[in-house]
Amino acid sequence: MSESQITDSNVFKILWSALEGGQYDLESLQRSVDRDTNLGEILDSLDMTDFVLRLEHHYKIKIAQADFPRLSSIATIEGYVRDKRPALTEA
Amino acid sequence: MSFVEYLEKPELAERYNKVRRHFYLRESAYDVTSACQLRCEGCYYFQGDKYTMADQKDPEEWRAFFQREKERGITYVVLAGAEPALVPKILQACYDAIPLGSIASNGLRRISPNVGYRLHLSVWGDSTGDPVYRRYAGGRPGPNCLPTQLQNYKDDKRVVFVYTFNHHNTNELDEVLERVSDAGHRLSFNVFSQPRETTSPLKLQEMLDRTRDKMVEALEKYPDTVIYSYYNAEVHTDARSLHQLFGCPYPRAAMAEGSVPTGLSKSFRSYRTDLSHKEESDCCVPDTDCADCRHYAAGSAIVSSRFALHVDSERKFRGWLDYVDAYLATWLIDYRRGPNLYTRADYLASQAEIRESARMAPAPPPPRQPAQPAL
Repeated sequence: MSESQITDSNVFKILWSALEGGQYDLESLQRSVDRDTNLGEILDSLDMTDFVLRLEHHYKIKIAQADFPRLSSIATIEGYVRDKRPALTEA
Repeated sequence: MSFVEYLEKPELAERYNKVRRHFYLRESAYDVTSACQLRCEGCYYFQGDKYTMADQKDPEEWRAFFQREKERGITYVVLAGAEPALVPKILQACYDAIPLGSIASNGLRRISPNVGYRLHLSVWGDSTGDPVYRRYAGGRPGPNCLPTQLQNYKDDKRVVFVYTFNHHNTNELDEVLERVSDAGHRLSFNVFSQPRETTSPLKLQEMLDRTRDKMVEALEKYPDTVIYSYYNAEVHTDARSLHQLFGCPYPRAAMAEGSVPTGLSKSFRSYRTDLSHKEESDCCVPDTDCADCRHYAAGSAIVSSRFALHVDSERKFRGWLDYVDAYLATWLIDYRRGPNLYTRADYLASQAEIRESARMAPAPPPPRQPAQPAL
């Protein structure tokens, strides 16, 4: 995964890596979750934290707890990261 | 280093993947009867107005209720007040609907082996202390519960003994631990947490350091018996309460602070014996003073849910992994905990940092504490 691209497919890859080994049927989720799915209705709060930590690591950003409500879907996460790292969108 | 880099270490990744399989647990707490043979000092049940509710006594009403709880998404029940063993049909109705859970009991009456929940049997002290800290409902000194508990639950793998440390009973652990270990049982720790608007003689006050030393001594001397970690000992005996250390995800605290409900705050309820609940008391220990809360059940939810507060150093992350591992072993029958990842060296280093931090802090004004009332 290239850090210089913010695409929904990269965010999806981070999401799947966060959920691997956990409580979910990953194959089923991969079929049903799209970029507008409300992640809060699917993910446990601890798994959401795992996902956010991986986003922070991958995009080298800091995500405040207060911003978690903005990370409701792949689409909004993409927008959020773009806001945080506008330079990356030009790659 | 970041969380992702911690997981490149095989022992941390293995433990993390082991504990996270249980993130699906959605718990709520249920008082199932107002009856109890004992009146323990500071018992959370007999505080506030909970014990004044009219009991729902029909097991079929409870059966339908637990079915609704299951449909609400609850996957783990905690049956507590006052003494669940006195209402066996309600326990069975609950188990038939939701097969994962635990029962807090004084152990004086045996719970049917058909109820496959984890059983937490409370121990308050040795043969001298236990009868003093918890009396019969009429006020006379209570029984020494441990011999009866051991007899009732011989070789019963559902059982974990829970020893509640208080201001007076640190050294009473020795006798208890020896007997529990000899019987092949497991034991974990609770820390007396004062109810709101009371001043209990059992409040630990200056005994926190001594209690922590005793916990550590016990877990090192009886590693196969004691379900506890260095990190557990550290956070449950800190001068600050769990609420002060980590904040609290229970609805009662979240509501008081006006925070947005997430995770546990959205689903946890504390039901009374009439099947009602109130958001302002939805907490595993309603009517406990949050400023003195070091309760083991509260910690299981508070510390475990504060994953994000434990990733700024590998040492903290290891502490969190140990804590969750010990919590799962305490609350799930078939879960086996692994060796401590947060080692004695980590514990000593952390304690040194806490002492140094306290030394550097400006001296607070001398506390105005009421005199310790006699028991």
